[in-house]
Amino acid sequence: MDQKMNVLKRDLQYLKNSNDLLLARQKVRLRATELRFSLVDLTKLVTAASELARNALEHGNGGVMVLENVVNGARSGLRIVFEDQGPGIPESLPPSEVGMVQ
Amino acid sequence: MERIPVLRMGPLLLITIQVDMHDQMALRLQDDVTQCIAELGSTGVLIDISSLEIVDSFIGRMLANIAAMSRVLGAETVVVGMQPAVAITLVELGMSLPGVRTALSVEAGMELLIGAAYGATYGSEDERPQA
Repeated sequence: MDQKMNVLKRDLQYLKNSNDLLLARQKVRLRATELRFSLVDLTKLVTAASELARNALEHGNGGVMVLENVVNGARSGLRIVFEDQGPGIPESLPPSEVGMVQ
Repeated sequence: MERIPVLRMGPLLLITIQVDMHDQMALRLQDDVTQCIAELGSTGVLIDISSLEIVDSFIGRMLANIAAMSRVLGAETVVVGMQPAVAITLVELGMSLPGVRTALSVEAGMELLIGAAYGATYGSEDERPQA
C-alpha cells in the first residue's frame, strides 16, 4: 500500500448487527458524495462496502469498518478497511477453490 | 419491526421498496409475499425498486428467491425501475438476476403481468413453443 497517502479524516463503524450494516452503507455513501464520486462509482463503492460488511458480520462474528479520507498529492479518495476475527480461508486451499477476487 | 407493504391490485401484488432495507426486513418480505399469494391467489407480483440505491448480492438473492417462490405458487414476478447505476454494478459484479423478469417501468411491468395472466387463461402466445 502506498505509504505517501495522508489520512485526513478517520471514522469507525462497528459491525455487530444488521442495523450497523445500514449505518456503514450510509457513511460510505455520505463520504463518497462529499468527494463527488460519480453515481456509478458511488453505487459500486457502496455495494462493495455492503458485501464486505455483511461478510464481516456473518462470517467474522462482527467486525469494524474503518473509513478514511486520504490524499496522495493532488488526488483524494477514500480508503475503507474491514476487519474481523473470523476463521479466514485456509492457506492450504488452492486459489481456484477459494474463488478469491483481488 | 418496520415492514414493506404488500398492496393488492386485483390479481396482482404491488410492492414498492422505498427504504434501505436491513436484512430481516428483506427476509420478512419473502414471507409476506408468499403468504399473500397463497391467501389471495395472486397471479402476478410487481416489485418496484426505483428507490433502491444499491442492490447487493443479498438483495439480489432476495429478489431471485421471491421470483422463484412465487413461480412455484403460480405467480409471475417482475422487478421494475432499476436505476442504471445499479444495473451496471450488478452486471459487473457478475450478478444479472437470473430467473428474474425485469421491466423498465411500473407500466411496462404491469403489461407483462397482465399479458401473462391473459395468456395463462386464454392460451395465447405464451403457449407457443419458445424459439
